[in-house]
Amino acid sequence: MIELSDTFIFDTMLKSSSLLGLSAGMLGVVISYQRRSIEINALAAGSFVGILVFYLLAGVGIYLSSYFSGEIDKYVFSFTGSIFGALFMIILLNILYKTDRLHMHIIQSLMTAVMLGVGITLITYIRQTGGALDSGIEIYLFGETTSLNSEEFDFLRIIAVAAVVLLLLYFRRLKIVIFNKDIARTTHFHVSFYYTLINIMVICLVAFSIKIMGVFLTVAIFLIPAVTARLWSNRLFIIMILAGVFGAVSGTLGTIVSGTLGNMTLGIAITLILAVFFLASLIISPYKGLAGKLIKYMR
Amino acid sequence: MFSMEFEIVIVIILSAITCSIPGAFLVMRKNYYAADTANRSAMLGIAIALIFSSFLSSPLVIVLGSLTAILGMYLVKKIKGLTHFRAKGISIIVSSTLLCFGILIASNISLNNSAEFDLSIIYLGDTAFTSFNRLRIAGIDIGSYAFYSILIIMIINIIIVMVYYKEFKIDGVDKYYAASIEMKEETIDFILVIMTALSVSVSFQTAGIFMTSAFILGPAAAALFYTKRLSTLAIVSVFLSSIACLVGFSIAWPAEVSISGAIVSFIGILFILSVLFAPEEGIIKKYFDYLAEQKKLDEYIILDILNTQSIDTSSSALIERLAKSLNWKFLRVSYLVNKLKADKMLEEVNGYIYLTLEGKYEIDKFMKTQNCFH
Repeated sequence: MIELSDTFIFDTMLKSSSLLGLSAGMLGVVISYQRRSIEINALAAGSFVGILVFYLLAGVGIYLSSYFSGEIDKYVFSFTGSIFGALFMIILLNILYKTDRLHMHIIQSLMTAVMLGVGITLITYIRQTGGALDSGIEIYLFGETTSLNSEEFDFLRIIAVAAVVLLLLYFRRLKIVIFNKDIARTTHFHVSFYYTLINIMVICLVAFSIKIMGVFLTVAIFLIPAVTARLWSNRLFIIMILAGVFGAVSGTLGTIVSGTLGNMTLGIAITLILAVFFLASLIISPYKGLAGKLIKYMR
Repeated sequence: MFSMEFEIVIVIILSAITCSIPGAFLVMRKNYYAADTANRSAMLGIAIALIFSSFLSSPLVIVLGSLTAILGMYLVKKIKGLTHFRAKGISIIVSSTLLCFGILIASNISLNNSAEFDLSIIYLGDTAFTSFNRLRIAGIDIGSYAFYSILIIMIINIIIVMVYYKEFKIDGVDKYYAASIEMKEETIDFILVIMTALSVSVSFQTAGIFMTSAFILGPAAAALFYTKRLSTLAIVSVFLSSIACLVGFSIAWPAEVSISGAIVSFIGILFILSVLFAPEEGIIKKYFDYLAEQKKLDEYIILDILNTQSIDTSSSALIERLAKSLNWKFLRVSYLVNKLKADKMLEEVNGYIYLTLEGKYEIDKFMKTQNCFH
């Protein structure tokens, strides 16, 4: 581990996963109070498809611009692909929500599975045609310890810090928008602005966390810190700070565990550590855990 | 016995039907987290079972997979009772934890010493692979092993549905009535979870473990836009899933891409199309209905003004005055007035506009139905 901690890759991954954990944990509180937590699953699957479609476009020979061709091209392609995929998915879901015949969650979990199906069809197609592009696709399924390069790390740093700052800056307005949309509308501030802000942050963070966590476990880093923090308190600001702390600590520990053991990908390590946090809080938390119940019972 | 393509198609259609039977009742009962939780937590049982056997469709895999799926649902219920959080969030935590353990065991222990398949077969699914494991009785080849295991689970599902159909129906439509006649909701939940877990753990070998939730929910959710009866819902969803299987297979087989992926994509297209364009419940039909309703309401407003207010109704000044006082556009008002004239609601006598008897009858009938004006 001491040898590892000197290397550039380990340093980058440690910083990036802790930053991602911090921002995603804080944003996850907002999302889980909006009852949209399973939508993250669908967005991750959508951005997975977006990456594959952009890979295919690059293979055919269509490039974004002449400026991006060369070494940097693959990373820019994958990042823009994941952004566009998540954007497409959020638009499609918002169209499908307009029906009153189905519950929102059914649509979300169905579209997740459908997008995974499209992605897997595309993977088999890419593998069959061969070429240089077929390597490095499967890291998106369960995450990879060394998946980010330094340009992407710069992107992630900007986006994560911006998300945290914006969440703290607009905290009071966001609280009203989340809990009571009607009051927010009648007090004349732009509800749609805050919705769009949340959506933009979600899309950007999902596009990164699909690389670190993998498609299937992206929802874990958004949701589990929020639920764990809810076990400790009932005030929104404290929950948000606690969720950020849980996310950051688990991101750091997960990188160390995954780097030390070697046969465990980063997404799995982070999820297991988050699950350990949840279980521990369920037992020892004085507010809603078993210990709190025992104390109340003793009195 | 038969050609390879025919056997593959039969296996896929059987597994799709097996999945879509519990799906119809899941969609009906709004028990939406069951499918996702079942398929993610079945991974652990499948991974443990693959240590001991190298068959993907051996009974051990089915039993252990459905046991861990039921364990996942049980944990969700217990933690929900402890903390009073919503079940969806807890189901994500439980299922992703079990999924992680499953992947760890599968990639590090169970698939290490088998050269036959790797981890990707569990989450991608390989339908062509199922026809290589043959079942032999006294040396005679009588079909693939997967065919018989899926057939048995399908028969179990159909028998469960036949026996408990009335309970499913009452509990799905009206929960309070079901509680008042002392029907145990937990029993029905448990039966549905068993059905879902069995279907997931038998059909993961053809569909891939994450796409089984599309097989379960997709056909039922698409069928919900065409029918309102529960029995027809089940039949239509079975029909839709078999159509999707045939089309997906016929696209995927010549192009040599993943068969289950193509089927699931086709199910998705079917679902999106039926949400948008369904003849009675679709979004676009509802939107045009809404527009027509608004237009009708505008007509009633003009009729009501002419009926109750005593204003100068000379045809040259009326449209301008209405447009000014209602703050509508001139063209809109003149269009509405002309349309009402064509419908014989209004008539023009000596340059003045009056209500006809028909128009008076119409507006009176409308106002009587609006309870707020009385």
